[in-house]
Amino acid sequence: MEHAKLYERLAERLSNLEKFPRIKEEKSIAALMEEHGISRRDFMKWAAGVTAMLSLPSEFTPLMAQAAELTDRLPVVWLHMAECTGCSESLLRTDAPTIDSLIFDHISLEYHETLMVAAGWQAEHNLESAIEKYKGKFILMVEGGIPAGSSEFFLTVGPHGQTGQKSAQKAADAAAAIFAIGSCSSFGGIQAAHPNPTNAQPLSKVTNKPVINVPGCPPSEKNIVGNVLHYILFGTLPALDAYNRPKWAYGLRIHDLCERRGHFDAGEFVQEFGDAGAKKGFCLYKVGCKGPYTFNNCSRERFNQHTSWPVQAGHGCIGCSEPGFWDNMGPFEEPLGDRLYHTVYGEGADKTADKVGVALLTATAVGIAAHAAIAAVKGSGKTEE
Amino acid sequence: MKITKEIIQRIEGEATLELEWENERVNFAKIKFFNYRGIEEILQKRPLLDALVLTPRVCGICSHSHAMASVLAMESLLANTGEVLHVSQKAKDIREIALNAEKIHNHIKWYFFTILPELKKIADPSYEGNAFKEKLWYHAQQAVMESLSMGSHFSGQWPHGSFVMPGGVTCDPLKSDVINALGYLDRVIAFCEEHLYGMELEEFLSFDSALQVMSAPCALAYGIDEMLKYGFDSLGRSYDRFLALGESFMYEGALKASKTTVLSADIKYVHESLDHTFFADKYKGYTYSKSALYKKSYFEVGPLARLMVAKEPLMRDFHRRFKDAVLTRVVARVIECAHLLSRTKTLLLELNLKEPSFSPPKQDIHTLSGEGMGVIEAPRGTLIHQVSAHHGMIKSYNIITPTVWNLGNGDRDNPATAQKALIGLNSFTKADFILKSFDVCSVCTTQ
Ligand code: SF4
Ligand code: SF4
Repeated sequence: MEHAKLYERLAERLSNLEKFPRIKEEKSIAALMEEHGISRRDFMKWAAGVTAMLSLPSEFTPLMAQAAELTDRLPVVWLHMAECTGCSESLLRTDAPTIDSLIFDHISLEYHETLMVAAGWQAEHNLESAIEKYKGKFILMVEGGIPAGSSEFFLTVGPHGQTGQKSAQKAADAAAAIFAIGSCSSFGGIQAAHPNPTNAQPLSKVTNKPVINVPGCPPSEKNIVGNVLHYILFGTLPALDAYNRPKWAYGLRIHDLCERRGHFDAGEFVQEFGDAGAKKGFCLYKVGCKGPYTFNNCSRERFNQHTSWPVQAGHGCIGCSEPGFWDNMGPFEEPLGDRLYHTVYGEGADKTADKVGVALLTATAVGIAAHAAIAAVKGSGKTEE
Repeated sequence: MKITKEIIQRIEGEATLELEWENERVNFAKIKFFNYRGIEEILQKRPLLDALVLTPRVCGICSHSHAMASVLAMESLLANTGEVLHVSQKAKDIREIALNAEKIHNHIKWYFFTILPELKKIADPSYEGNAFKEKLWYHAQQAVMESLSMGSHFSGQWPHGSFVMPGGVTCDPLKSDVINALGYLDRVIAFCEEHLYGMELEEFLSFDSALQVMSAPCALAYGIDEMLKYGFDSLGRSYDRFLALGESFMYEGALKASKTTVLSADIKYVHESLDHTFFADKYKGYTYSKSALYKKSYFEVGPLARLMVAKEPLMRDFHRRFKDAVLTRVVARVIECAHLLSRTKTLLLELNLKEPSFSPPKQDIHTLSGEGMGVIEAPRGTLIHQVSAHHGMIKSYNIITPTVWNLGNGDRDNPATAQKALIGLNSFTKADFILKSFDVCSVCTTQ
């Protein structure tokens, strides 16, 4: 669709949404921002950033700002299944000066077990009444894998003993859109790793409705909030890849935008943690980096208020946004080497972006050297930094 | 006899508290955890180093703690096979900085987002406080984030950073990283001085009397006042026995304290009990949480225990007045936070970047066989990882989390620490608050 037409369509959707009543009579986002000392300019800058992140043209920035203002029209229910709470934790550490977290608060979070720590709404609004009240209208976000074990007791929610699976199903049936937050909910996660003692399943296995996967262990706060805004803007599912991940966030490999990429191309590798190459910030492929096989935007968006990410701290990417990575990507501190790894785009991750000597990458360590040599000859071996 | 079951909300994960009443008093309590994932089983037959990536996922709140216990277990395995690694002071300091970031964030978060709203709710049951809609809580939230960003300069990310390896750390921070981290830490300190302590950190740390703290207009004094109002200065007492098995800058060696006498402790007396778990009996069991004991007795672990074994003067004074009541337990976290802030600042200022981050082990990890144990002090208390490996593969892995020390289930004649603190109460609201004073985390209790 052309930009102008798309713009019109989104603007219309937002103005329709504006007519909906606010869920809670609370301060507008503008008032909230003001109270917290966030200027309109900061807010617009933030909106421009999200617009770019969602791969929309920059003229759409005012729409993004408007979408953020309308987040109080959409109720959200957040369920915890078998997990470590890491995803909620990641979300709570959103960007300074915490516009993301203000937005997330502004979103009408009707139910969230840990966040309610803070909010304390749950005494009045339990899960069932939220589902009942907002039937067909709320966004469901689920964190954690869903145990379908032989024992009822793997994850029982509440004193009435409803299994996690049942409550997830019930909520999914009534939801307008469903997001699986984190690798656990998207693909089963750590509890689903071999031998999967609790028979943990991804959310998509327990519902027939489409589930948008937002994997990562944890996923970055940006990817969580970005998806909500995308939904508000478009009201439809985003473009998804073969694993139902939104392409705007999971369209590129970690490797494509990695700050160490120049060293990869130049054939400069850390051979062993702590060696001279490590000090110089060489590529971590040989000590286990799975960046070439992993589709996510960590190398661009980073974590903890954009502070850092694992590769920056000298440890390879572990491939946490890929299905079954616990079993497929290990050992984590060694290169995948001569094993072929299935990615979204077929076998061997390098088919898409890296046209040079790609098969060699997955072949052997010698292959990497060869690849690097070719790259160097082609003049792309420039080091960054 | 009346039995009530209530689900405990506003904690990490979920728990159910079952209270047995007699003459309107709690006679016995069962603390039930239902969300088992099986991480110890999943660790088996995997390459040894993979535990460094897997175990942080035990808990999204204490992920660095698990990485740290795991790396210490591997280093001790190496030592048991005769190779004593030289881990540089720099690497040790970086590990501690990252771990402190996790503890500081946890203490601030817990105090502002669990304890204060609970106290407000006790005062006014219709209270629907929202962390973000009140300015103070918004600032607390920011301080929590800043303490984590401080640590992520070294760990890459939080939660779930993988930056430790047997032999050191993988990061090679630059001067600019340290300066940025200091900037974040200073902002956290400023928040705490203004809102939590109501005075400068140094002044607070120089105190040795509860009265000095109770008079300052700040969130801590507010909490203390409220707790006094509802009798929490005498409720929630347990055995008054404390244990800290991991290292700390505040004391030397593994220690236990009972009746304020501090004695050395030996890890060999630690024992895990399966009583009342589904593992022991599929039908009669009622929880996935094991219990941890020291010489067959229950001990309290966590900030209060650490400060008691360290003979921290201010803590001692609170303890003299209120014993191990809820009030003492809550205040402990806030006092420890002050020490951690000041300690971390010193570490950052003195970090010697010239030293190596990492000294590789001589032996090939892929062929290692043997056993090792890592013990650290996590935000909620002593955390133990035990690993046994055969030719570089994990044969068995056992994790004893702080919460199984405090929140396990004993019997009527020998109740576990939190159980004991609940007996004799006359209301569920109080029981709920007392349980929360142990900083409940169900995800790590059961893994
Ligand atoms: S996806 Fe990762 S961070 Fe999220 S709950 Fe699962 S293990 Fe924790
Ligand atoms: S292999 Fe890893 S460290 Fe190397 S360039 Fe790719 S993503 Fe970066």
